[in-house]
Amino acid sequence: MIAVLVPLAMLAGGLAAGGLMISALGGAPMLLALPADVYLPVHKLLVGRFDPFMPACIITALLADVALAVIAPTGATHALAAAGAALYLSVLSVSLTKNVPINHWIASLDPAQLPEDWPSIDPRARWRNWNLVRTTLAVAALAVNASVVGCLV
Amino acid sequence: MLPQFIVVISVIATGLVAGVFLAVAVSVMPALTAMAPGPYVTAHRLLGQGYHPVMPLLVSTALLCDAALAVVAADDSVRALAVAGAALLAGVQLVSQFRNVPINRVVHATDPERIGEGWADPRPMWRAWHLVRTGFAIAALAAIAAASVLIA
Repeated sequence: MIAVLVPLAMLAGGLAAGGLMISALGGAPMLLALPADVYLPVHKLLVGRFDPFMPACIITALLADVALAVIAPTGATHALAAAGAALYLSVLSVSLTKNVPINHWIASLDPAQLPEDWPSIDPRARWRNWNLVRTTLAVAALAVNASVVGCLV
Repeated sequence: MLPQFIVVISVIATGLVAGVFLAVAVSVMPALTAMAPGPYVTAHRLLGQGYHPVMPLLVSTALLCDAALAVVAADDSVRALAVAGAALLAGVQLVSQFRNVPINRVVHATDPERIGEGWADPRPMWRAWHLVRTGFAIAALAAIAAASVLIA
C-alpha cells in the first residue's frame, strides 16, 4: 500500500506544485503588465482552464497523505505524512478563501465598464501574493512527501 | 542515505518541471491559442520571461540527480529507473533547445503591432512539441517516484 501511496502523493504533489508555480513564474507578472480592460478577459481565460485538474491533484495528494499518516510504519513517516496533509489542506483553504473568490469577482466584471475606483480595487497584487503563499505551501508539501522516502526504512 | 537524498531532490525538481509543463499545456496554451495574433505575441513574450533560468535549472538538477542515482544505486531496478528518468529529462532538454526555444526567439523578435497577412502562426508547432516534452517529464516523474519507493 505504501508503495502506491508514496509515489501517488509525489506525482500529484509535483503536478500541483508545478501548476501553481507557473503563475509565480510567468502568469502574474504578465497579468500585472496588462491594461485593465485586456487583463480581465485574459485572467478569466487563464484561470478557467485549471479546473478540475489542479483541485484534483491537490485533493489526491491530500488523500494520499492522510492514508499514509494512518498506515505509516514509523513515527517519522506519520509525522511527515500528517504535515503533508496539513500543508495540502492549507493550500485548499487559501484557494477557496482567497484566489477563487477573486476569480469569480473578475469573471463578473465588464471590461468595457470598469468600476470608477478600479485602481484601488484592482486585485492583481492580492491575487499574486496569495498565489505565492499557496505555491510555497505546495512546494513545501512536495518536499515533505519526498522526504518520506528517507524515513520509511 | 545518499541515494535517498538524491531521490528527494530529483522528485522535487522533476515534480515541479512536470507540473509546470502540464499546467502550461492545460491552461496557458489554450488561452494563448484563443488570442488574436498581436495580443498573443505580447503575452507569449511576457510569459516567457519568468521561465528562464528557473526551468532549465530544474531540468538540469533533476537530470544530474538521476544520473548520480544511476551510479550509486545498489539495486538494478533502481538503476534502470534512474537511467530512464535521466534519458527522459535529456529528451526534455533536447526538445526545449531545438524546438520550443527557437520558436520563442522568433516570437520575441516579432513586433506585435506589425503582424501581416502572411504571418506564420507558431502556436500549433509550439504546442505539439510542448506536449512531447510534457509527456517526457511526467514519465520521468513516474520513474523517479517508483525508484524512491524501491530505495526506501
